This record gives sequence, structure tokens and C-alpha cells, in this order.
Amino acid sequence: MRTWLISLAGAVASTASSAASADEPAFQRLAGSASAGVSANLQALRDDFALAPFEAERFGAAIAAALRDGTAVRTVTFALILVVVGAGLEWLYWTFAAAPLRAVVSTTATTPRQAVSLALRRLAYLGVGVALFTASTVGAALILPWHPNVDTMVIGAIALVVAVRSAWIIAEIVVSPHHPSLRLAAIQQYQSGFLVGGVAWLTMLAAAVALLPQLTTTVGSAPHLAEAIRVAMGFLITVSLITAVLIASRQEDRGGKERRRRPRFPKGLIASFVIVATAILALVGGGRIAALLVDIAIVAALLGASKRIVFFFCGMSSGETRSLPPRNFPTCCRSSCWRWFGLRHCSSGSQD
Amino acid sequence: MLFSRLIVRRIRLGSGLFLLLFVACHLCNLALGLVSVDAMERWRGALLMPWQTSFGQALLLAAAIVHASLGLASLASRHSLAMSRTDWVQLLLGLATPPLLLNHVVGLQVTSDLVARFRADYGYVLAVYWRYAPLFALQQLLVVVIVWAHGAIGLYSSLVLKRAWPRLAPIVIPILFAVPILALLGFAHAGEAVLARLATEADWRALIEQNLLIRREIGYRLGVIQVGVFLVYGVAVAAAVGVLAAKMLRRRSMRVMVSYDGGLTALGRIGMSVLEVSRANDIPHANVCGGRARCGTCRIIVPADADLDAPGEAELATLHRVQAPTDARLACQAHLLGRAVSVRRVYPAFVDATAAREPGSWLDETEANLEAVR
Repeated sequence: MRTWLISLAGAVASTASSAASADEPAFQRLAGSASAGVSANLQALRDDFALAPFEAERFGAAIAAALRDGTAVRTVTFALILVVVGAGLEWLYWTFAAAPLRAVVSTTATTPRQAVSLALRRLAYLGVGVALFTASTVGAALILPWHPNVDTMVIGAIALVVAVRSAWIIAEIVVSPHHPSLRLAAIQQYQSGFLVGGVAWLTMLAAAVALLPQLTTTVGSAPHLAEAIRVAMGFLITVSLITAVLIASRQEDRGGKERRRRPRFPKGLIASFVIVATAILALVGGGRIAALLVDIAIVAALLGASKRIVFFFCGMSSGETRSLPPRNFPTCCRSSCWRWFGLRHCSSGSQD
Repeated sequence: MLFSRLIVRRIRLGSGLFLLLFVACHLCNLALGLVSVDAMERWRGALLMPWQTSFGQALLLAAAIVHASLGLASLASRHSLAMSRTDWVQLLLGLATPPLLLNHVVGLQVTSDLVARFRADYGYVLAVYWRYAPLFALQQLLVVVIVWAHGAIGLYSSLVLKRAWPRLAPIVIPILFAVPILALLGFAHAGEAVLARLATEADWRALIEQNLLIRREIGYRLGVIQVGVFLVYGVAVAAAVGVLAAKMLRRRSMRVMVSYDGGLTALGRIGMSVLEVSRANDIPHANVCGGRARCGTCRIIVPADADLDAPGEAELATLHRVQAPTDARLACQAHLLGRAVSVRRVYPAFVDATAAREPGSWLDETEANLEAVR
């Protein structure tokens, strides 16, 4: 992880320095091409939304035809067989594994290291359940005689279900809303349920972004409708993220009201700005820059939280206390800046 | 009380098993679609005819009404929504079944009863579902899985507590899997065959369409019946949920403290069982049967003067079966009356069904297991 962070930081730094030393006409050319690219993307977006209603009608007709010729009934029948096989086998597994899992979650961890050990055991039990579900549904899907093009959709749908469930399980293990002593993150009890729900909701939206456009393209040959759905779902994800950030920052303000003595850096505002900027960049075609922005935001958040994470797992293994006071953002920034300069120094030293 | 809880529980289980038997026969008949539509029709006499006589129909209808009513009564008699995941699944599947199934029953059985010349054979049913009304097919496919899952969970929950379960499991579990899968495969196979026949045999298609015409002619009457049943069912569900909500709202401020072994404490409300308090407060508490007074794993030791309601017949029977001492209660049946209560859990939270089948064995192992987990 550390190596990855250093290399990413180095890449960002080299991009910044090369941009600063670029000559003026090159920059103008770059700006011109970027502007043209943005205009083209916005025009494509307008076309997508203008043509989406017609394609939606065509998609509806395709669905109706699939219902009439038996394709849809057959597909749903086979999909339900997958549900029976997958859910049934996993249920059978849980009739044996539920007791050991209950044994793990009913243990009170006295130190974070013990919590990690118990979390790994929980991950093993829950992971085997998901793996069994995946293997059985994929195996059954490969055996069943689907109509052409449908099998890949089904495998995609299984993959997305597994992705959502995996994200949910990981969030549940890390945050552990019902078992505070097993929590692996320094977060408050009132945030835990909200966090798990938020992760599950966002993963589900992300899964829908991947699946729905594929469905409309495969079944209805409707690329514009697919793009419109993608944009709409992206908007929903952005709104959900901003709402989550606002709720989290409000809860944190409320939680720290008594001990707060000076105004805090508006972390929520910055996070909202980054989310909106990423969404706009993704919308106008700056996918790579948006991805870079997301990477930088993740790195900044990790750097900001690194001290808390390290202290949570190593500094407090004696088990004195498990809840840490929230740190102010400027303090995080300061320490992150020091680390940043440290990294720059290291990288320049290695170049010399 | 007209019937004791024990008898009510047995009636509910019996009616459920009766309905499950019917569904199993129906699905086995559907599975014969893997052979041919004719095979389905030939075997219909053996597998479904007993249920289609006047007596069979009356019994089936009574079982459905009794099972649904007792399910709703059980929901209304709860004091909180602190239920296990399995109970939630059971509840939601059970509530979803009647509205989803009604269309199938009214469209076929009631139409057959009203119009003598209406022929509801498998050929017609499959043709309607695969060609003329595919949305109904999707609805019925869903209901097959819902009903079977509801029944299978109920059957498993009841059988797993029996001493014979280890011997029964290798037979019952494969059947629980095979029946719905084969039924769905049979439905798919027979459906394709019916679509092919519709495309080639004009006479048969005309016969199906004539049947459809009869169905359309009495559509209004069927609609009235359907709306009436929906209305009654909707009112019954709303009443059950309303009673539960009113009870929870009325007692929301009547807090009672429960102290557990190990220094744990939890807040409950008057009327809640100790097990519900444990669930609502994430206190680890064994409950293999989900709080139905069947397994005895949730039992607690309470002081003689504990402010809890008196044990009922079902609880006494289970306590007697597991040879519990006189100061033991079942946490799922011990309801809070008002004063704070102190309890000691007998089993660790991680016991499994063997603790219900052989209560003595687990008590010896409990301490050793606790040490192993630590």
C-alpha cells in the first residue's frame, strides 16, 4: 500500500511539474482540444437524451416480443432455478455455519488485534457462503440452455449480485454495527449502521449502472437509452454521495458539540466539491481526470486517516480505550503536507 | 382462551404441512413436463385429483384460511419487531403468497367451478402462460419459489428439532431442492412444446382461444371475486399490523431493565419477551427455533420473585422435555410485566439444533466451547 501511495504521489507530482514548464502555444492547443472535446461530449449527451424516449419505446416493444415468443418466460424460469440453487445451497451451508459464526460475533474482543483476528474468521465464514452461492449459480447458469446473448447477461447479473454482497459483507465486518467490540474502524456507534447502509446502497447503484445499460443495449439495441440511464444513475450516485457526506458531517458536528472550542475546517464542503467536480468531469468526457481526482481524494483521505488507523491497531493494543476523538481537518492537512514534502524529497533524492 | 397456545401452534403447523403436501403434488405434476404435456395430464388424476374433489377443495380452502389467519394472529400478538432474519423472510414470503396466488386460483379453479364447459387442462394453462398472458406466467413462477421457500423453511424449522432429523436430513433436503428445480424445468420444457404445438396445430389453437373466450365472458364476475378476496385479505393484514403498531406505540415509554449474566444490561418494554429484549439490544442469546417455545435453547434461570408472566402450556411442555430445573423459564415466553428483571442465560449464543435434540450434551460442552472461542 505504501509503495502504491508513493508511486501515485510521484506520478501526480511529475504531471504537475511538466504542466508548469509547458510553453504557451502548447497549452492553448491543449485548451482548444479540451474545449472541442467538451462540446462534442455535451452534444452527444443532448443526442442521447433526445433519442432515449424513442429507444425506450423500441425497448418496450422488444420486451413485449420477448414475452410473446417465450424468451422472457424461459429466461425468468431459468433465473429462478439459479435463485433456488444458489440461495438453497447457501442456506444449507448456513444451517451448519451459523453456529460457529454466532460464536465469533458473541465474543467480546478486548484489543483491536483480537478484533482483526475475529474479523478474519467472520470474513472466512461469510466469504465461503458467497463463494458457494457464486459457484453454484455460475455452474447452474453454464448448464442451462439459455437463449443467445442471455447467458452473458446472466453471468453479469450474478457477478453484480456477488459484488454488492461482497461490499456489504466487508462493510459489515469493518464497521460491525451490532457488535461494537468487533469494530475495525475508529467510528462512532451512531455512524455505523448508516455507513453499512450507505455502502450497500452505493454498491447497488454502481451495480445498476453497469447492468441496466448492458441490458438495454443487448435486449433492445438502444445505445442512447443506455447512455441516458448511465447518466441518470450517475446523477443518483452523486446525489447519494453528497447526501451521505452532509449527513455524516452534521452527525459529527452534533457528536463533537460539547468539546468543540474553535470552528472546524469544512470537510463536508470540500468533499461535496470533489464529488460534484468528479461528476461534472465524468459527464463532459474527462473520465481520466475524474478518475485521477477520485484517486487523489482517496489518497488524501487515507493520509488524513493514516495516523488514526495506525493508532487504532498498534498504539492501543493494550485495550485501554477504542474510541478516538475526531481530528480537525487542518491538522490532517498539515501532517499530510509534511508527508508530501517528505515524499518529494525522497523522490528527488533518488533521481539525483 | 378457547384453544391453548400449544394447540394453536399444532393447528398452524398441521395446516401448513397440509398445504405444503398439496404444493409438492402440484409441483411434481409440473415436473412431469420434462417428459411431455400428455404425461402431465395423465398423472394429474393421481397427483391432483384428490384435491379437486369437493371434500379436498373444502379441506384445502380451510387449511389456507386457518394457516393465514393464525399467521396474522401471531403477527398481531407480537410485542416488537425484533425477529430473526429467518422469521422476517418467513413473514414476508407468507404475506406475499395470497395476493400472488389469487389470480391463478380464480383464473382456473373458480372458472372451472362456474362454467362446466371450461377445460383447465395443462395444455390450456401452459398456452395461456407462454403465449397469451406471459406476465401471469412470471407472477406464477415467482409464487412457486415463494411458496416453496416458505414451506421448506417451515418444514425444516420443525423437523430439525426432532431426534430423527439426522436420519431424515439425507432424504428431506434433496427433496426440498429437487422438487422446485424439476418443476421449473418441467414448466420450461412443456412450455416450449406447447408453443411449438400452437404454431403448428390450428385446431388446438382454436380450442385454446375458445377457452380463453369463456374466461373473458365471465371476466367481470371473476374480477368481483378477486377484488373481494383482496379486500378481505388487505383488511386482515392491516388489522394485524395495526394491532401490533398500536401495542408498540402504547408501550413505547413503559421501559423495563433486564440484567443478564456477565454484567450486561438491556432496556425493553412491558409485554416484550426476554428474548425480544435480547434481540433488540444485540445481546447474544441462543434461540434455535426463533422463539416458538419448541427448542428450549433460549432458557434462562430467573429468581423466584422475577416480575414475569406465568408460563403457558407450550412452555411447560418444552421445559419438561428438556428436564429444566424449576427456576428455569424460556426467554421467548417470559414476558416483562413492569419491574426490572435479572436473568442468567443457560446456553451460549452459538448452540445449534443438537442442543434442542439432546439438551444434556450441550450443557457439558458449553464451558469447554466458550474457552475454545476465547
